[in-house]
Amino acid sequence: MKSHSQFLSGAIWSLAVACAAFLPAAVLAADVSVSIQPSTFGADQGAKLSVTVNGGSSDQPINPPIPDGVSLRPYGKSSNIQIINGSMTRSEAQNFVVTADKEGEYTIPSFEVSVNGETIQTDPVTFTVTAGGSAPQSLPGGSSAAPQGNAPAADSQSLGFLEMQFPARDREHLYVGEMAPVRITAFFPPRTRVQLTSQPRPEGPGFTLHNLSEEPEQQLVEKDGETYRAVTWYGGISVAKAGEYPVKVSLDATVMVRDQSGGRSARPRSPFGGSFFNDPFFDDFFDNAFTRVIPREVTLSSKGDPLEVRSLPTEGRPADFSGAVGKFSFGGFKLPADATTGEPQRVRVTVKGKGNFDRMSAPVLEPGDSWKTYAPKTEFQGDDVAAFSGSKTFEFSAVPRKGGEQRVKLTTSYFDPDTGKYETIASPEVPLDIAGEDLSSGANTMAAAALDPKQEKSSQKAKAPTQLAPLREIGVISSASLQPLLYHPAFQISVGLGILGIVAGFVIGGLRQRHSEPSRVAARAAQQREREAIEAAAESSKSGDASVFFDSARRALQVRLGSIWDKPAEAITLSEVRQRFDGDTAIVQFFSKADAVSYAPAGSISTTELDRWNRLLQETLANPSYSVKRPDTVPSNAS
Amino acid sequence: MRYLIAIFSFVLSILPAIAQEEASTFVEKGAIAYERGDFEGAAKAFNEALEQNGSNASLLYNLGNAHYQSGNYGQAIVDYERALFLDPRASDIRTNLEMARNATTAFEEKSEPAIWEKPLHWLSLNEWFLACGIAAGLLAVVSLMRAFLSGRKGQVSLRWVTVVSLFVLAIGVSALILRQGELDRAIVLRPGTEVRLSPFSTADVVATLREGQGVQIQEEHEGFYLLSKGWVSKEDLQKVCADS
Repeated sequence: MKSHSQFLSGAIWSLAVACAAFLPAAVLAADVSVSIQPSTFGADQGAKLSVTVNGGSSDQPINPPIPDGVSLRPYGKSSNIQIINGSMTRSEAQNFVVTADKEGEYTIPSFEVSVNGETIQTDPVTFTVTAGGSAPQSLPGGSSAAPQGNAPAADSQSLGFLEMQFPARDREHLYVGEMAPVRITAFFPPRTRVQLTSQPRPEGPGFTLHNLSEEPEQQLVEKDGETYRAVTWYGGISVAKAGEYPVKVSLDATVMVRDQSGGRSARPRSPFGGSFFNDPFFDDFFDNAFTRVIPREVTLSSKGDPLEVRSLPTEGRPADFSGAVGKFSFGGFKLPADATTGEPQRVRVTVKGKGNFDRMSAPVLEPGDSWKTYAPKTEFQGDDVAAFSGSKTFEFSAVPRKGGEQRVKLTTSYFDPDTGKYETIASPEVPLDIAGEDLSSGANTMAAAALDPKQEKSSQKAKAPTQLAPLREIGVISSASLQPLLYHPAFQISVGLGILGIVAGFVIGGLRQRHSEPSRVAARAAQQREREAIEAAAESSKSGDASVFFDSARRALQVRLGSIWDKPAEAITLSEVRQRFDGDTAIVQFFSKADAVSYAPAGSISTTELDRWNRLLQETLANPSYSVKRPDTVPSNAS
Repeated sequence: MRYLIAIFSFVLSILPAIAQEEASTFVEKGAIAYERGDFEGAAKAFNEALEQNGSNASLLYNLGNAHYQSGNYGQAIVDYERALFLDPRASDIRTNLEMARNATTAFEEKSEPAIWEKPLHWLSLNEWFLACGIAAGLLAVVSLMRAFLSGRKGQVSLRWVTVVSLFVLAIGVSALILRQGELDRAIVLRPGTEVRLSPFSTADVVATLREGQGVQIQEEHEGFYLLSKGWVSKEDLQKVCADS
């Protein structure tokens, strides 16, 4: 009973302590505060925005509203518990990095945060963005751009600028349709990371950029005393309408700038208090290593000098002029050597030069009334990265309409922007004897029908069925695959197995053949005989049979020496062994002892001695030079 | 359960027959439409038959005729080339293919193989693949037999089989190397097909192609094929062989 009351009293005290500890936090109303530090910062920097919830935690993710031109990036959470005079306060802060594209004063308006089921309204926060860094107001390239606005950006800390250059030339104007080569260069600070998010594009109506190099050149360049990373494109620009326009191009990029919101205090100072780690070198090093980078999307625009664009004159315009502006000439042509009226011929001609090749149409075959020509197949080969100069090859079909001797040539027209006049060029004339009679217009249509898909179907239908092989009668419809067998897994596996079988056959056959070679067979037999002799010697040494032992030992040595000297084992005698080895070597002793015991009974040799002789035999056979001396352990009287 | 298996097996066994029956119906419809001069209707019926039955040289040939008569020469050339892939020695297919090429003036750079190349064109690509596969299999068998059989028994026969297999393999591999381009061959379907610098519809045009012209596909990228001179929309080309 006593224990029950003690338990009850303990429980009540515990409850009281818990209430004392947690009641203040539960009873105190939660609040939310918003702060920004620093409240004034540059356009190329950032500030830390903190949304702090005191006395609770947010029920939902906090997403402050942002004004136009401002970007917000989550920067982590922090929480804090404070107990002051027995009163516990819990706070939680959600941090963000704030950046702005332009200078100005911005306000993050009031927003709602849900804390412990209660909705709390925050106060608005105002901050000021100044012009970034120490950037001068004028740009060295005359460009007008920086981070999507007027914020200056020109020195090594700026975000970049764009230039468009025309090569030096005598005139200050362009003609409509003329393609002028341009070089577009984007300059970025050398140590920033840059990601290009678009190709350079023309600003304003009527301009078109052509054949921009897909992979721009990159290099470090000096400009007005500053170093930049220059990214250069080559291409052509053309204008579709006459007038005076500012020629301007722009480019989107993402530049990684270092987040200055943490300042240098973000790096822990040296715990040793010395000056070594506080050296400016380490400031740069640690800033680069620890400071976050913020992606800044920028649009760079070139300055946009006005350019006069003139219309092409109507006076003197050739009938076959197709809009080609530049300077062109014939690079070669191939006409048929002979032809017959009504039969299609292939004509191939190349036009080379500089200008807008896309407007150059196929040269005309003359005399025009003698030929009917069809739509060409074209191919352009550029000579430079911008495809401003090059050659265009036309290949087309032509049907001679008139028979007899003709002098045939090709002509084409273009507008020369340097002289301001139209030019017509012609290939050398080629004499051609065309067989057959002149075609009437009806016959002409019939002959051409086979060439021109756009001709009336009726004429084709009248001709085609008489020549086209008829439909096939299909009885049983079998099915076949249009997929090449090479791609069928079953075929691939079969061929793989076949190749494996061939290789396996060769390998196994080779091994078997090698195994059955006479020399190898003989060697294996010799090894077997040697093994048997050694075993017999070992057994006889144990049994004390000296004559068998020495005979077996000699046989083992004969077999071994015979395989080395390439002689029959039986042909190796004591005299030969004596000639090749010193008299005191064990091998000579074995031979002489064996000879001795074969002619006279061996004296009494103990099994111990025979065992020593046996070990000597093993040693001799194991020694590649067989020059083992007879050791003193073998008694001399044994010989 | 046994009844279900029996019914399932029965259905499986008659499905090809049903498909073939339906295909035959479409073939007849196509032939009637063709005779009537309704070439587009004939092409539609032959296409249906192909869908029901799968590829067939005669069906493809008839479809090619229907497309030719409709003035759809590029598609007709695709059909004839596919028919030739399955039946390489058919003279009627070759004749009509040549007519379709002439109709679009899609002259092939090399329409006729050289004399020494002609034997390599006697068989279709698949026939050469099959011949090479059989020759490789025979060589494997011979190789293994020689490895395991001892003595001279049958060695002469094996030698002959080896020589013949090696000859077939050499010729077959030569043919396949020479004609490997056919695996990635495609036909231009529309006149004035544009070849672009990059695989984008707004990229600059560097060349134009004729309808029916044969081209070699080097690469694919999001709706475009890369040819030797640039990129062409997939809609403008059709491959002759089926993809891997």
